[in-house]
Amino acid sequence: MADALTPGTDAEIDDWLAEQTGKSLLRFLTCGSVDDGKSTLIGRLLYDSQLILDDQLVSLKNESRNRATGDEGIDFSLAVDGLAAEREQGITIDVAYRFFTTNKRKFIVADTPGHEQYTRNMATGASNAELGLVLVDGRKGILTQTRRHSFILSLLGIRMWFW
Amino acid sequence: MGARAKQELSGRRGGRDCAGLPNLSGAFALAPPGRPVYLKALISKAREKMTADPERLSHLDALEAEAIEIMRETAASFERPVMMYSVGKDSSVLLHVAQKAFYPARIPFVLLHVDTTWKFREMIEFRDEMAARSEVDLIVHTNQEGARDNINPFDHGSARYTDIMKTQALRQALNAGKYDAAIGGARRDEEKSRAKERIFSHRNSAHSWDPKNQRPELWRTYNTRLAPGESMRVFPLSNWTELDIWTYIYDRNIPIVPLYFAAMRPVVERSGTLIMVDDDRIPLEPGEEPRLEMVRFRTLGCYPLTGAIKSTAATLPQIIMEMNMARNSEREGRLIDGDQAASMEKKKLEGYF
Repeated sequence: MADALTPGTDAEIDDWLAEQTGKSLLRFLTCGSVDDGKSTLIGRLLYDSQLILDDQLVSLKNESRNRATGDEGIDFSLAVDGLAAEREQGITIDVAYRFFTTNKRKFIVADTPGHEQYTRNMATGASNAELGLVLVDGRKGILTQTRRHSFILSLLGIRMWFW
Repeated sequence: MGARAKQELSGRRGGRDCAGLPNLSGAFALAPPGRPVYLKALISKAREKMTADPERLSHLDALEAEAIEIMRETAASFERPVMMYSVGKDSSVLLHVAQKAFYPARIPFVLLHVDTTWKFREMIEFRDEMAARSEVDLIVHTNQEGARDNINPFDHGSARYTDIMKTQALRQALNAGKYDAAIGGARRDEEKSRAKERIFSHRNSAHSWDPKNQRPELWRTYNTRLAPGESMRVFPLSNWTELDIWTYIYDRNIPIVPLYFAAMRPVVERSGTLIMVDDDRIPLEPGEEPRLEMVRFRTLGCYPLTGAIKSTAATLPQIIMEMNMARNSEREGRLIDGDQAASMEKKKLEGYF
């Protein structure tokens, strides 16, 4: 055991590991009103940047049957809506955390629920975030929950992005 | 990380051991009683402190500091905490963090291992060696009724076996010890229902999780209040990823079970999954011959339910590199998770960790 843990390390791997631990971290969240596409956006981003692994993609495709989907046959919100009740109702109930890394940075994204009754879960996700992404459906404009979430973000001192 | 990089890091920070990140509960406690608390001012002050930290601490150090704070919070807030020890890589990290959190004192709670009697033999050896070497109190629990009835994954199916030998065994052990908080090494990146769980996750008196009604958990102010009979599951490694676990093991030189490293092992193939023949209890089909293959494991559990992967990675850097290229998640090798969609959530409702 002790032998296995002291390998003749390759300098390249060493540098790579040093780089990994030295990366900065950005924690952000998506929020906004119900059905404005928060979970779908995160699922889509993960998919497009190829961060959904093969076995997860297969189960995602299976679960997306009987749902409104795009060309890929995938309902992207299912990538983050992990609870059985969320899948049945097609809504997000609690905040989901997803982790990903790019060459420059590590990210933790909190995907938060839009429903009024789950606003406390949105605040839970927002409390540890440094950046907020407020989603607005162009067809519906700014709704009560959009305002409420924006207010919570400003109360918690988060720099905002509108989309 | 090499010696050179290590030196640089410790030089920059002046010492590796740092106490937890600023705790907000302290900020609230400072407000004099009976006077209005200016929430907004307090919050922005706390945020200033909080966001400054990641720049000073490396990513791994920040994760470690968070986990240490959670460990100490658990020890301080509960009467009878217990730490789950499953012998896997996450448990090794959890143990290391716990020792560091209370050093030079002993870990102020017991470790609990739920032994299904179907674990890999090397895991049990490693566990006993660890218990002998480190100064920890280890309790091993097996569901005696299940063992008497010879419940096994072959005759009874993985779902029933898991329920009786793991979930029920865990509930028995937690009830017997009257533990009010159980620390576990689960991570949010492991599985979709775990991605939703709080760090301090509430359980009712039947050890059941109510995912639709979780408590708010703002900043680092954890709600540790319980009604009689209720309990808490605590996950200090919530925000770690699989890569973080491996780089931490590498960086801190933490011992892990040798099964994680590739070696020639006898395996049979069952519905596309490589199962290691760890002892002669596995029923071989007529004409089936275990063959030797170069394999290793990404996760460890009960040997009949844990799939091996073909690999030549025999050192930690090789494992980390291999994992980084992998196109499958680590739980692919876990046969019990695939039983049905949302099956982890279902098991958690029944009291599974």
